Amino acid sequence: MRSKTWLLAFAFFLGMCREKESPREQALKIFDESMALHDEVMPLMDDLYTLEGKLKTLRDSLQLDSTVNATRIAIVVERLTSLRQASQHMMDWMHNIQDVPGSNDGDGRHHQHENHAVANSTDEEIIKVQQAQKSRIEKVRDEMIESIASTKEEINK
Amino acid sequence: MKLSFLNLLHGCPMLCFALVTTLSSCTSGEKPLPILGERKVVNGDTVYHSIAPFRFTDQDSVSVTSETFQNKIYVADFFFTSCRTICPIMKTQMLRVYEKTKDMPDVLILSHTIDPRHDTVALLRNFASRLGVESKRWHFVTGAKDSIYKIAQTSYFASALEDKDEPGGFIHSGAFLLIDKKGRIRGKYDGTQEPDVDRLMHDIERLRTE
Repeated sequence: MRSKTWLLAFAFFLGMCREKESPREQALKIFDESMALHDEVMPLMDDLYTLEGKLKTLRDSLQLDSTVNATRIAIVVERLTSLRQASQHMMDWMHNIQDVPGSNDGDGRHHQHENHAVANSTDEEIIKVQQAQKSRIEKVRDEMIESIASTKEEINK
Repeated sequence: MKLSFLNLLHGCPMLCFALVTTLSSCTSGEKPLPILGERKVVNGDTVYHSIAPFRFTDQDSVSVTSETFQNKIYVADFFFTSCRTICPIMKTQMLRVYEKTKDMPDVLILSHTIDPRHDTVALLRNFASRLGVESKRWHFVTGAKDSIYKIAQTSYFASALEDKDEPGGFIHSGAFLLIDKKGRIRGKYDGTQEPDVDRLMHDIERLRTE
């Protein structure tokens, strides 16, 4: 019984000694997770463009009888807009990326916007910025997948 | 009379030329590079897939067209300045190609942005100047998004799109394409892999001797 107590105390002590992840490390981890999401969906840019071409062809053929096909033309135009927006949002995300203060893009450049000033950022703020950035790329991913799926469905009708 | 081998060569220059030619082809021992893409036979002649005519604007606001690359060998790729993943690796590898070909006036580099909305001429100029490269040898071009994506898919990656087994995402795949003086694709390389880029640099030299 006594040895068990000692063992538990030792395990507790070890747990206390384990180095806790610093806020900067946490922020970098979130940044890396965002980039992994970006890498996962970036190849879909080709699909967006290919489907845009197919939709344009479909729209043009439907417009040969625009009165009869009015409803479907409206849907196709809507799908075209969503494909273009998804593609644009992906590039916007990349263009507006915010680094974790202290890190850079490998070329020594920092990408931080006015609302993410290094000097004034608390640890909490730095993590919040990265979480918001990750949440935005998750939305872009969902938008891309959704627009591709709904376009394919429309084309295959 | 005893006829030595040297006497024979001295007396017959044509034999000497034939011997040198044969020896040189034996030492290189390499076949010509393949011509990639679709081919058609028109009136008995084979017509190979080639890059469609284009017009873009480079980092100096100068129009860059198919004529710019007439009778030139060039390496083409697709990138965007805010890309943080594969593009920095591609850039390092393309710089190796740039350095390797600095004394080859017939070899150029053409990098297309796939994000023309953000990659303005000014941004491309800044990008090129940070790399310290000459615009007459390495053109960073922008243009209408539709034109860039269209030429990527229908000219540079046409063969890849036809191959259903190849994975998607050609435009952002990190590929370098070797184009010959007739605008034909002679090689496709992974611009993120040093050994593949070594192969590209070797193939440029092979292509120059064709």
